[in-house]
Amino acid sequence: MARPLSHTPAHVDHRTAQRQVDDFVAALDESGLLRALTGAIRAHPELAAQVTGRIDPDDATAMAALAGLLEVPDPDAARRLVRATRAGRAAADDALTTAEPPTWLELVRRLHDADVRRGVGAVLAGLRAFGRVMSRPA
Amino acid sequence: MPASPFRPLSEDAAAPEQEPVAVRVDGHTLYLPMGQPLATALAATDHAVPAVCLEPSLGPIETCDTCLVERDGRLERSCAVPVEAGLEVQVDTARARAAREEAGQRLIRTHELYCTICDNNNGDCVLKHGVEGAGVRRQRDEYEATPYAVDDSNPFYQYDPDQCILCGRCVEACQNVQVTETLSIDWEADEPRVLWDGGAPIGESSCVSCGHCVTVCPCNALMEKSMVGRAGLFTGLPQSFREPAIDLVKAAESETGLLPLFELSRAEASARMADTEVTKTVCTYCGVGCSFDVYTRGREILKVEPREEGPANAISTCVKGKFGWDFVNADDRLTTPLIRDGERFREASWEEALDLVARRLGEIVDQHGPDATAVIGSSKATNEESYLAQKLARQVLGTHNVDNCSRYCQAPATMGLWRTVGYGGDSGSISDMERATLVMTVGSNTSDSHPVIAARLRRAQKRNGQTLVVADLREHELAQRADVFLRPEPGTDLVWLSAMARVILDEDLADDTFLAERVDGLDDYRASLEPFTPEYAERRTGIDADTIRSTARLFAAAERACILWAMGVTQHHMGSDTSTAMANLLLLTGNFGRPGTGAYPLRGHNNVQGCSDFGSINSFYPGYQDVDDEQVAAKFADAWDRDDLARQKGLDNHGMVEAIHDGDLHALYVIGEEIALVDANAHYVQEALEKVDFLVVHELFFSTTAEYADVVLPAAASLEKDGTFTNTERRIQRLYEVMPPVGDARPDWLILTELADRMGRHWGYTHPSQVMDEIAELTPMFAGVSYDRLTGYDSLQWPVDADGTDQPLLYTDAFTLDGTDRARLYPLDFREPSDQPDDQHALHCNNGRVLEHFHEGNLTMRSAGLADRVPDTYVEMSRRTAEDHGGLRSGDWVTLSNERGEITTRVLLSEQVADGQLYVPVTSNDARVNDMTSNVVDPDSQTPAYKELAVAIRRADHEVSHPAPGRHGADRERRGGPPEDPTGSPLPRGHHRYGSPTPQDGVEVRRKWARDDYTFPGR
Repeated sequence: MARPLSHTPAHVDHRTAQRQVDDFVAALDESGLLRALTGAIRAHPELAAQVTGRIDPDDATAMAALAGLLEVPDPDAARRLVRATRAGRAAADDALTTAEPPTWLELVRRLHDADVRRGVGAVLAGLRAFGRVMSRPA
Repeated sequence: MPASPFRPLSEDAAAPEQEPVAVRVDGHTLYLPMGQPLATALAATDHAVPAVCLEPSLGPIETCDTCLVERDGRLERSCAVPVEAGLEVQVDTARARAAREEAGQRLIRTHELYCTICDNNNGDCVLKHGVEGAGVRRQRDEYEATPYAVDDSNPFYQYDPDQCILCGRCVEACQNVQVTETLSIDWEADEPRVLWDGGAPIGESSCVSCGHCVTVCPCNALMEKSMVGRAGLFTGLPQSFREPAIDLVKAAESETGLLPLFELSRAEASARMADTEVTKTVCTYCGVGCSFDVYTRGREILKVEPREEGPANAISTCVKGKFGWDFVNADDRLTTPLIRDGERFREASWEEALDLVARRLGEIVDQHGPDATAVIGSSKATNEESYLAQKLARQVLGTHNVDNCSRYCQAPATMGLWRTVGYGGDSGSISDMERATLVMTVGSNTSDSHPVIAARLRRAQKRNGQTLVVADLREHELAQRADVFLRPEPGTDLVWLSAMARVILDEDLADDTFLAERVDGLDDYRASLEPFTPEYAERRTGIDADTIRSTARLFAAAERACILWAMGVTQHHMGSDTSTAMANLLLLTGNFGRPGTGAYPLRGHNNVQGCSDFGSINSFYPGYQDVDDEQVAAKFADAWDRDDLARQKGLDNHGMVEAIHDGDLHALYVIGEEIALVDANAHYVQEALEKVDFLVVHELFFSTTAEYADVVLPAAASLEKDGTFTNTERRIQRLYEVMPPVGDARPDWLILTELADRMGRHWGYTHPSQVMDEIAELTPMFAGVSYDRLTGYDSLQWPVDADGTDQPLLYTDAFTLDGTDRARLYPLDFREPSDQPDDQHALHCNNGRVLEHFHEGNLTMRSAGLADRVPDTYVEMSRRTAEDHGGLRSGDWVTLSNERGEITTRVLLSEQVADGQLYVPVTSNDARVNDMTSNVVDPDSQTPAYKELAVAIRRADHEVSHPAPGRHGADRERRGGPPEDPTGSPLPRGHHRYGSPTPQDGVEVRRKWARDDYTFPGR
């Protein structure tokens, strides 16, 4: 004779420590940081490393590679691009040393500056090339 | 605009071949499939054009204009140009390119491009590909927001008018595929948008949440809520961050053009999909056998996406299949074995639990013999698991005491087909139902119980003039659409069906050639029809004699007829005979063996067909090989190294319960069946479960049956394992592991393998494919079935020859009855139903499913969205019945009772139920209709007469609380007592039953073209 018995599955209580870790990881996930990191890592790590390594404007070979990647057919334009990249990197270094980061509103206002827009365009063009390489089979 | 010709949407073995024909494109000769939309045919060539609004299952709807090409100097939409021999077009001309670019520009004027942070940026965004393919490199016009807010009133999906490009795919899918006819576009409005019921919030409309619209949406305008903010790397950004980010990118776009943005989003798509799994599975919510891709990240289900190549369903799903999978991650999943220990259950290791099961089963076999044990297989488990369940019973334990829940539902239909035509399965495919010129459904609430098949029938009726005859006690959704609706008295289907047959014979409307060439038994059958005059039928069924005559003539005149039936027929004590009557009617009119004809018992569970097919049945080895056949017995004795198996059939489910009460059955092994609730006369079954010496249960949750168990073994859900299911069309399909089992749960096949190992049978399976290989060797019906032939969306419909040839349509050349190639008309008598209303029990109580829930709700009540739509069971009755019983109103609590038991639930008034009758959804663990059903069974199949039930009714206000959502009954008590009594109607105000559909002819693009602000691109 087996009387009907109730039972509550102990799904949670016996794994408190694990849940705390899970919560921490979930918080990282919700912030977007974890996803961004894991997605980028899992996508094409070798390619990413390779591309990053090739975009070094102080290296003549890299300059040619960069021009190729960005599909810049004109050598003069390629030189201009490299100069611009150097200048941009220097400006970025300066910007990073300022105490207060710009607000979003200030960032949007800066977009009215033609040079800024040109620079953003160049960066996006670079990202385009990056994305194109990433989306191709290795 | 050329109307696209009607074609079945489900896999269609009778479809004509699309022969390649020579076509000139830009001066090149291409060979393209005849009849295909040119835009589709060009997609696989170097001359592809975008086609944002073209979805193969919808056909050309001509709203986006991105596919324009030149023909004879004129621009034409290539989606609407069918491929034909000699066709000559120019794709790559300046004029055509400019026109396509113009069309692309128009699309993004109403769609804000923020692909990189869009949840639809999964590498397959149709809009993005279309705009890019149209040659748009820089946005010409500023994006124009609409004045409409996002509508998120539906629990499952949302609509964002600001992202909607008004392509109308969703409208076409709703109007002409699902045919709920809820969606439309107000083309004449200043700011057109997609409307639900002409302008209601989605959550208060007639929308049944089937998900078609979301599936076909080419962008992110319609999106699963489970995707929103979850799908992309950056899509979960806070709004305060998101908007400036979009502004930033927009500003940059003016300098850079769109290409860098496209590339950037492509990179993001690659990254997010590297972290997202896409896995094909097969749905478990009914016998239609819908297959689809499940997008997951870890155990999180992002979305379910059906695909055109799904053989049963193509792009179709119902609300449960599309959105009802929350249960997989429910908090109360069983994750570790449990062993009864005095007055409680305690957790145990697999080793301890399986050792105990093996020891106790062995002891009982030793003490009482093999037939003191029995196994119940699961119609929700895989074919391979059914095979192993019966192998456990037969090879390991040594008994034919093995059965499954088809005993509760489909055995009578199988019996009816065995008697008349041969195979116990659907005669053809879903595409045959679509091809039929007349479909008759009997005792089937198809719209709720087999929603995708109902959609196919509605579509065939709307788009191809199919005649729909519906016979049912209730005027349910499909009945409301029927060309002929027959409402017989309960339990009298055999009478009017036989009267129809008699009319057909009397009026010489039968297919004499077919009868002469392929059918035996006409004379005896004709004689058996003698009592069934239309007038007698009118007196007994309530259907008037003239209607019976006219329906008989309509049926006989149909070029291609199918009959579909379900539990409204089979769950009667005459279930086998009524099923036989329908097969007789089809034989009489020559409706077998041709495309668009046949008999279709609609299987209710995902694998109730396969569970019997693969051997979990007391009278057959796998593939319906008789246990009393000497050669068959010898074959299995040799294969399994067991030569002492009986040559007599074992106990079926009811026999097992009786044998426990009689003291003859001492051990019961139940795999995923809630027999304590779903078997008739539940109290009687529960008493048996208390008595049995040893009970083992495999389950996902701690079910009512588990309460009686000695050992409970945590099982994997369908999404957590590999295997195959067989749907109602006899179609075998693979399911793949979407995610690993939760906790320490295991798939049934692995549990059974490890148990057999402990009992001295070393099966050694490490994957279900090995089980299928063994089945194919031992079972002629499945000789050619292998996982290689079932890869991805490939499927096979049994019987399958060794070379892989399958049979989508049976009986094309011969019937398979008793070794002859002829069918047989089977004479029948009528017997009165068993439990008819009387003075004490005045109301007939019908029972069954609702759209939003599967069976008693163990799975679907764990979906918050589904429980929101239908929170609990109820008793549905007409206003007159309510008046006659004290002026009841919707929301009043009542108790239904008879001598076996009672249930208390709330009243729902509706006009679907006839006066003097009730309808109670079986979706409840508290208000269990089977507390009242009887032990009466169909003598030919042992299926309970669930639908033969008379009850008394009385008010019960404030007596009992039965709230939901969530797990009911014992579970709720464990959580600390019931919440407050709910009041008001048992269905929410926004339930789709209360909506007001807006039928129209698809998207009605001509109304768009008639707008003053519309010009044809390039003109």
